[in-house]
Amino acid sequence: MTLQLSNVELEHEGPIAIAVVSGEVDMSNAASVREQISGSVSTNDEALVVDLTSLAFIDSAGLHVLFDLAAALSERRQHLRLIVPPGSQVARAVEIVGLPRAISVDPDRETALSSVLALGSESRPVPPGGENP
Amino acid sequence: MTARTRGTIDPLERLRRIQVVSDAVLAHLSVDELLDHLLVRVREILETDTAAVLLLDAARNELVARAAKGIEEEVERGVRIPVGKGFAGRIAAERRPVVLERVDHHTVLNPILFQKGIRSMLGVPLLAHGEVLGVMHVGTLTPREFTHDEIELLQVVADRVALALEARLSERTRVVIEAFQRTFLPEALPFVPGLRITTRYLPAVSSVGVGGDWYDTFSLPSGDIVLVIGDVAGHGLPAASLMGKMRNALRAQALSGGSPGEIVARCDEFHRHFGDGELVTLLVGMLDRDLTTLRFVAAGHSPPLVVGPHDARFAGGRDANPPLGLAQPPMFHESVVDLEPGTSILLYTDGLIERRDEPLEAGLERLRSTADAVLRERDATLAMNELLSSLLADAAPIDDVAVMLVHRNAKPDPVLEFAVEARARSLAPIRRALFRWLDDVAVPRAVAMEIVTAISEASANAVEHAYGPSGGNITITASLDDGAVSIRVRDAGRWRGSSKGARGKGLGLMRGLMDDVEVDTTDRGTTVTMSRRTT
Repeated sequence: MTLQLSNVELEHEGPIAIAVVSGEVDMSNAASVREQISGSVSTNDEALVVDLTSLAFIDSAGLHVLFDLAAALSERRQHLRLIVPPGSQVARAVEIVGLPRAISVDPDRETALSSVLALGSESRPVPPGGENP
Repeated sequence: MTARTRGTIDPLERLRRIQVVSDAVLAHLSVDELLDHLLVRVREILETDTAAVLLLDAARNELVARAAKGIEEEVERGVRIPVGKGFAGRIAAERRPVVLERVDHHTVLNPILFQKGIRSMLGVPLLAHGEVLGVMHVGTLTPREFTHDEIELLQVVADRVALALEARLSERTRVVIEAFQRTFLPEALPFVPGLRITTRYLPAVSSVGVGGDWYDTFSLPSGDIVLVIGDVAGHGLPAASLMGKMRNALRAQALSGGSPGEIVARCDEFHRHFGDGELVTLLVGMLDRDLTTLRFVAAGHSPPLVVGPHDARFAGGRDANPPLGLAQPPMFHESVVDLEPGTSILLYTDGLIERRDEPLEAGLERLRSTADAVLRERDATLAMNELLSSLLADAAPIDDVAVMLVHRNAKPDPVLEFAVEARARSLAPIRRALFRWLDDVAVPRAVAMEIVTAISEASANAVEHAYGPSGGNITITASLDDGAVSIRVRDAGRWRGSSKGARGKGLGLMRGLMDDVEVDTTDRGTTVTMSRRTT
């Protein structure tokens, strides 16, 4: 539904789940966005990358969801990384609440994926057939 | 009454008494009071034991007992008599007086009448303008021959009752349809900074005219604004009911997305599937959230009138598209109008331009020249008043009139103030309204985004903490002075709950984004005042 405030699309890059969130996230839809994102991660995934490149707006309820997700994933030894384009509304909000102190933030998908894979090579083997550079 | 012996009252005297009754006393009575009153008098004057009125239920072609004197039980049991059957049914079918000199189960259908010992009956039809509204009858417990004078007398009374009934019933129908119609007009018009929407609905003066016009306007989640005006063929309750269906179908289709052409095509499909071949004319416009372009489809509907800074002209042709409800699905062609600041767009139904004695083109030209003269540079409400009084002054509308005037302000409002319901779903519209206004007053986009974020947070605080389940409003005021934007977010609730978690971050966000944030909580509500330099 293009008319909803937000949209979450799910992708996989080898062992990495990617949730692409677009539109706007505020207190009216934060809980459902959280459900959609966490539903995208299986126990086999090494990491979750939340791509906020196309997200036009986030408020504190949305930021709270990100903190919450990081905590839940870390209990299961899964990594969370965010893609936040510099200069965006999301970047400004993320910076003000000090989110980068708790969650790794990358400017684009390439950086995010290579960072996860670099981490993964220390802790878990990269499965054969991974398509990442 | 002094004389109880039949035949001692002069027939003229009887008639005079009935006239007195029916003219003066009855003018302000309801249908039931009127019938009660008249039946008492009829029974007295004709010296009968019973008197009753049955009204026609046209949909089922049955007579329904409505009022009775002498044998009230009949009414309580809601007796129904098919037209053409029995005594009352015969009167309605034959539209003439019927006399029964012997009552038994062969001559009457209603068992109460002979169970109660009624021996003779006289009945007459209630006729108004050739239409049967019902039947009035009287009965006696002793055998009786009704004289020609008595039959005529009852018919005179019945004629008067019928006229009074017709006036009351048609007035009641008109009131019902009008009330029904109004429930389908939007409760509140969307608030869009920079845009002023003014609407009017004038029901037709006569009861037959009321019916199928409507207008509608609402914002979509995308921020686009939908403008609708339509007219269902026919009048009365069937037209009003179809209008209600079309209005809801259109809302649903608009919410499912797509261009005006796609929305109208889906409504046409809906109408061809569920409708009965009635023609519906419709104009559906979509105004983009930046208010620069109106994209519309006029399906058999008169074109919108665009009153720009320099001229007034119709956009698109009248016959650009056929109405809805044709056998074959047509293609619906869209037209586009650029909406410069200071432009008004007028949507209307034909009741505004139609006159009995002239071609439609003359009505369109009268509308164009009048709008050109009165719609510029003045308050929208006053402009609308003047437009309607100029166009409808010398002729009361024979049909309903629905009008919507959409004006894009020439200059941004120096102060923005609006109130919304304190609900989470109000937050996105708040952001859109503010973003639009900040853009209008030329605040740079990056700064505007930060201001909007802070206001969204302050509003979310009010949504979460200000009110209990009964809810309330949030009022937002924004102004630009000396290169700084000042904002106030007010609620009238009592602060409930803590400000931990997300809301704690919210205050942090507000302080991080704005130059100054003050929160003032009293037992009459909370006001958050914030300011931010624009450079």
